[in-house]
Amino acid sequence: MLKIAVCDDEKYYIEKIEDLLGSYFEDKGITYEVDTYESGISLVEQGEDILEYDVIFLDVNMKELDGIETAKKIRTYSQDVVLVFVTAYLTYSPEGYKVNAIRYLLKDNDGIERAMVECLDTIVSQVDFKEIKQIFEFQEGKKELILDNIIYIESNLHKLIFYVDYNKLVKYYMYKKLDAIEEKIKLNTFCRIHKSYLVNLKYVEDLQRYNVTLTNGQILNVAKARYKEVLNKYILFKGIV
Amino acid sequence: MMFLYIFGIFLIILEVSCCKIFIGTFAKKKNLKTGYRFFLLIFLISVNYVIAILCAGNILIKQIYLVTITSIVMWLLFELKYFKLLTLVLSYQGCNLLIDYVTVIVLCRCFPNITIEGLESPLMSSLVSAIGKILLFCLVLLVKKNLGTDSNDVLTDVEWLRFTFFPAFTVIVIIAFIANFELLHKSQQVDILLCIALGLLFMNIVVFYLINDILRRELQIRKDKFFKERVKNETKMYRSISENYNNQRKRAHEYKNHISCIIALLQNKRYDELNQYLNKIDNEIRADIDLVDTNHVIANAVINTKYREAQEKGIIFILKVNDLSNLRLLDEDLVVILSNLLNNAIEACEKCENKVIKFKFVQEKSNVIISVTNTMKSLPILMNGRLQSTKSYETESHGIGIENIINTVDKYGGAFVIKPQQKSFSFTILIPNQ
Repeated sequence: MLKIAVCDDEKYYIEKIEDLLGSYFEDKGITYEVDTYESGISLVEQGEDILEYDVIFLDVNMKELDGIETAKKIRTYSQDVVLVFVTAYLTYSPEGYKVNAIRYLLKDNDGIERAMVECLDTIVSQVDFKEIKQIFEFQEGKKELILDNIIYIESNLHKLIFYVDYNKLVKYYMYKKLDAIEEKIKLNTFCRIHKSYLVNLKYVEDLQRYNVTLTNGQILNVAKARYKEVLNKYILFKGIV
Repeated sequence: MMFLYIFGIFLIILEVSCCKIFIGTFAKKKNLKTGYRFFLLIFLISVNYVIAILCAGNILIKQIYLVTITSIVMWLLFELKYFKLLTLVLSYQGCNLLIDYVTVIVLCRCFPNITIEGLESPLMSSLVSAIGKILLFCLVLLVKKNLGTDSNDVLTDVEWLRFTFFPAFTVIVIIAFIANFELLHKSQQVDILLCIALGLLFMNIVVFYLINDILRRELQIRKDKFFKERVKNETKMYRSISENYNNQRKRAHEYKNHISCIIALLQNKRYDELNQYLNKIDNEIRADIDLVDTNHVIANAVINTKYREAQEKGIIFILKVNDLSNLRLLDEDLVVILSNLLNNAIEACEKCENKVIKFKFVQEKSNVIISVTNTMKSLPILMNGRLQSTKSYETESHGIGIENIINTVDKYGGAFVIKPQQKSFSFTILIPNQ
């Protein structure tokens, strides 16, 4: 069941969004629950309960605590909850980009319905994607990992080290060939930048000739022969809206 | 007989020119006056000729003198350390001798009536030398094409293949001469033969440079076309900005009038009229007010114009933008990339049922990302790495749109990926920040 929150200081829009959500989910036969809030503050007051929500719709231009600030506070609790900004106009707010909202819906009467459908389609597929799990047999035992949390996998003489992000870095070890693991994790977001490295593009901050810099500052080498292919994959990944 | 000497001089001129082209592939020319450069080359040619005559018997001494003098003159002409030049000249001379040697061996093997002794007569050795020079010319041009960084030679691989008909034919003709004209009775016949051979050699060089010049001119014409397209786009954009600005000012003035009107209608309880009135101005306002602000005037202008256009055509326009005020791109380049990308996307999208365009334009820590994905009806065709237009009219101007984008992206050291899929098309550009 999908838990959704809608936060807007104009009642008209709260109702409008509820209607749109209703028609979408009933159409798809997905069960959902909507909570509404008439100000950013009342939403943030929920504290840790915010983690229960899968999706939060935020009006950017609210009077007391505007949407961006609300979003920042929400992000301190959870990096994973999907945020959708609903706004009368789309401004550049640098903070807005950092909170990583999946969509900006413009309060444009004509287009908002179709935009909402597209938005919900994307959210539903993303939520599925973020939960792709696989079971790996490590030296530490059998573990089920969410693939999206793997930062990179290093191969050192047939010994593989999995670097996983659980809000702190965790390492797992196994004896296998990196080729086999690459075959097992068949995701476009993983890229074999080097014979010894399989990297999750989500954690790549920059790509140069011939290395990548990860979000944690680490630098890994990219094989010259693979550079062109890595660049292509990186560009495609970055271009995803 | 006199003719043999002229022929010989010409062969040496050809040799020296090939050497110059060869070295030119790897080194930069020094900034010298044309007169001085000409003088050095003439000097080199004459010295080579003298060495050739004086050391006719002793091959080793001849080579040592040749290589020394050539490398010194080349060192005066090019910007390169002497030792590197010496290496280049040695490799060049090595190729030269190798080609001559191989030519002789191949001729003797393939044609039983040609013998090494037969080839030692001045006429025959000149002809063999001519074959060697043609092959050397082709080799040097090939090296220049594949290893050179100068884009002055614009022949593509296919065009090069067609050009090679000329040297190939020349070589065959000269071989035919050698195989069949061993015994010539009159010196006149010798002269005529040499004349023909000389003419053929000349022709090869002239043809090559002729093709080169023609193609270069064509390249210039295309560059001009690109330029015109860009200017057209930019002008359209500026006009749109100025119209928009004027409209927004008008709206501000009309606001007061609208409010008075609304109050009047409300006070008179003419609710139906009020409803109609409000709908009318709502539509008008929506048509003008900018919905997107990226903190960059030009980006705003283009994006808002295209957003409105998309709305009018019933296309869902999904945007992801952030603060673009520190963009490295120049205004005119930005206009080229954005207008072409979005124009193509809107045009392709119009034809299908589910019209969606996803547009991302963000400035990140290390890169600028511009990406457009649109739904479309038919699969675009990629031929020769260039997109074929699915448009039925004016095919040329649309191909140029995408090439303009590619050229602009290259200018900033960026990279791009085009991904045509079943029902959608995406064009992603990454431009590094430094």
